[in-house]
Amino acid sequence: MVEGVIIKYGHFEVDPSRMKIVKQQYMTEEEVERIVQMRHDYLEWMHYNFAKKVLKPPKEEAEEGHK
Amino acid sequence: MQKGVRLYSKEAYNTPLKPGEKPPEELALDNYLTFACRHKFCREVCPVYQVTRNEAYIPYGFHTSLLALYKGVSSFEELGDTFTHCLQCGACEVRCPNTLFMGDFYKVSLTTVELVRKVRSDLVRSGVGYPGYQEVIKEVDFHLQMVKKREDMLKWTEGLNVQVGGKSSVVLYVSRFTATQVTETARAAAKLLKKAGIKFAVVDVPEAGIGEPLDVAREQTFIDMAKKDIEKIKAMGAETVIVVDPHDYFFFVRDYSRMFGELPFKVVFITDYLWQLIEEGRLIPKNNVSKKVTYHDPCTLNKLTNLWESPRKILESIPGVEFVDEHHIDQWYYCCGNGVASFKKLHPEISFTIGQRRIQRALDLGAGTLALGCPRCWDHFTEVKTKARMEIELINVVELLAESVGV
Repeated sequence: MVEGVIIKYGHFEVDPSRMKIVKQQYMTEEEVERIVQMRHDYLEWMHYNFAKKVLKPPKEEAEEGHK
Repeated sequence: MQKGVRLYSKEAYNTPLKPGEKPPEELALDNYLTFACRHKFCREVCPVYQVTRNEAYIPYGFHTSLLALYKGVSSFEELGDTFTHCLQCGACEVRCPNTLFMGDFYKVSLTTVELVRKVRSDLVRSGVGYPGYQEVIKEVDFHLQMVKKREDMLKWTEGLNVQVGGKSSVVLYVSRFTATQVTETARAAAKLLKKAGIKFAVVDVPEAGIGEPLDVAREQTFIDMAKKDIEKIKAMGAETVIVVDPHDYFFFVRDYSRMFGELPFKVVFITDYLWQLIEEGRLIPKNNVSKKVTYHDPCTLNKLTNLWESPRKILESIPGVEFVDEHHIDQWYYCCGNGVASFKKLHPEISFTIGQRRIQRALDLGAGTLALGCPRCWDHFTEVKTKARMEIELINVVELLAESVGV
């Protein structure tokens, strides 16, 4: 995975040379920023509406259980 | 088509579809990506689907119908009915995991708005057409006639004593629809800028301002109008362009920058600019406005350019306003019904029903006022509320702010 990923405009992007079958489309930096921001907004909205509690990593969960 | 202008984000869209010809394989592959996903997140979010409950009229249906054409089990002529049923609101694009969760990583996203423009234009270019396309052509011709009438286009500036044309680092861009049909919004914007002491000039006169040419194979008209406006703005020495109509904002931010590359000036939507002035203390909303208000997010802002904060902040800053907010993500599911380009002319009944349902949602919140950010939403909602005899006040956020500031 790591060798197939580049960082462009400060965000992860698949190495374009790997996109041989499905061609990449033209996307400006602003477009990338817009998609990333909307994803954050959407996940925040999902969390607000549907998350009953925040699950912790197993180690932290176990530690809390012992207290 | 003019060389060097990137009309579509995807190369596959550049090959015109023709009757009796198989679509290119690259397009079929793109169609297959949506057909094969079967998530159909694009379904419930689509305001047209909410009314029609017809899966042919969602992006899944659009891509499947093109795939059927590639497989030889449908005809080019059948595409007309399917592809007219799209508002071009962009809800599916932002709800689709192809865009929202992978688009920025793979640089492959759902591009429904561009696909709908392409197929509609291919239908017209090939002589097949689609139901109602003549009405869209009439609208384009009407627009082209109107923008030649300088006096009518600048009538909204009467008595405001604003600079028209000439050099200015800040430019106010008011295109034909707002300049001739919803003049109060443009006037309120100019008054507020003057009140804040901003030195600005109005473009003399904008030619662009409609997306319809891209639906009827008049792409060159769209490009020519846009280029002329960009040249005019450049000649004014503008550093910042304040846009009043969110449709224009969408064209500048997404279409023009894709077509012509980075623009030589910054484009700011009016509510963003006004909120900045409020924050700097240059505009003070002081008059009490006793209204229970909810806000309708225009598709061109909320879904297509992700601009939703500043109108809300402005409403919250107005004394006396009881603001009942509906989350902007919830409003991905909403539309006024007008659509971004031709939809209302093609399907007025669906357009009306979508508008009626949106107003009802505002009434269900107990709001007496529906604040808007788009002159076209105002125009369509005005028609809907009159026909449906619904009691609600419609006002642009800019006008509401002007009332509170006292201009």
